[in-house]
Amino acid sequence: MSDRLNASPIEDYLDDLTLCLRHESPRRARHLVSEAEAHLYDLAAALVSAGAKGLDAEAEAVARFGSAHEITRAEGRVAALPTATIITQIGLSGLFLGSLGAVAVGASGLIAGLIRLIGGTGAIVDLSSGPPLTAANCARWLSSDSSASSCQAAAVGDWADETVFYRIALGIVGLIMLSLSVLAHRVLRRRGARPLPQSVSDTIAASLFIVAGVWTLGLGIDAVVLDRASGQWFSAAIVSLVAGLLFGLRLIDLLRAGAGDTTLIKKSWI
Amino acid sequence: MRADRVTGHLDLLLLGAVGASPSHGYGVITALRERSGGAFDLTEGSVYPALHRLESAALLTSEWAPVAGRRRRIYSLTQEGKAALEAQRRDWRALVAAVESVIRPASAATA
Repeated sequence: MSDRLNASPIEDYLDDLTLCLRHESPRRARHLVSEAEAHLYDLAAALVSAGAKGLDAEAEAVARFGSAHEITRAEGRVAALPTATIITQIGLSGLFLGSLGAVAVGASGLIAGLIRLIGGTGAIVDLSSGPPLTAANCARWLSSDSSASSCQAAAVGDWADETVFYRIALGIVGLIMLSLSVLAHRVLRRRGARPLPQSVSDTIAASLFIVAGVWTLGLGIDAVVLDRASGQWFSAAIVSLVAGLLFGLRLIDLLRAGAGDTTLIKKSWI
Repeated sequence: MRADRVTGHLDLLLLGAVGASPSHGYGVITALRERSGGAFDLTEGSVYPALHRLESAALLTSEWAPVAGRRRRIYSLTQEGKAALEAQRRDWRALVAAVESVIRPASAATA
């Protein structure tokens, strides 16, 4: 490096500014430093034209620009998101993730239905998972299932129906919510609103699905060990673990790509 | 002119300067100083964050372009920026007219 650059107040200042901006996204930091550099050399050249000496002109340009710490603080306030924006981001992402969760429950209902087709009603639920067999309950279950041979069979059939169809119904609600979420996203996007950064929402989704998957898998294994019906748990575990895995893999890809959150905020999630 | 008197109208001044001609930050500061006859000699520490804030609000857009042998960030008004400038101009003129009508000497007001 030449002596001129070593002794340059502008170069010293740009070094300081680069250090101060280390917590900004790399692109934003580069742009701020490049902009400051162009400005400082323009101003120094103008001061030299007005009669100042080289290094004095640079020092004057730096002094007028303001300290690197002040500039960094001011730029930090610019980059800070307003509360309304954050609430909108959380709302958009919450609606989207909630919809996905409901769709996942619906998918688990379809799998539970498949298990029921293959293994029968007893493969999904058993008597240990429902309300007590009171006379009133038995009368209600038997009235809705005239082919049941006993109160116990009618009860298990009723709970199996609930396990399958309630989940599928929630899945349908999830699909409607998902459509509304996409619509809300498109409308608000035109007004500049964005969902949470993808890395944040993927982390939330992967964590929740994996926790739900591990939890229901554990309940399913427990049911197998105790010789109880495990279908209701395994159907949920399969969907949760697959969803958690997909979100986890996408998150890993995202982190490997080294994409900064500042960039991601501007990216469409859906 | 005292800097705090400019603060409330900084956005209007910057939108006006950039609206007159797309420019880089140094050009904006110079234009403001020259067009105001030296009244608005704004500091870089206030102008650049304000330009970036206006860009975040989608009132300005910027692109990098080589000018006079150096890569510079050139700011220009967006459609929203043009609308905002027009609205702020109206507000400013209404304010000036209102203030003027209050501070005008009594003799001028009755004349």
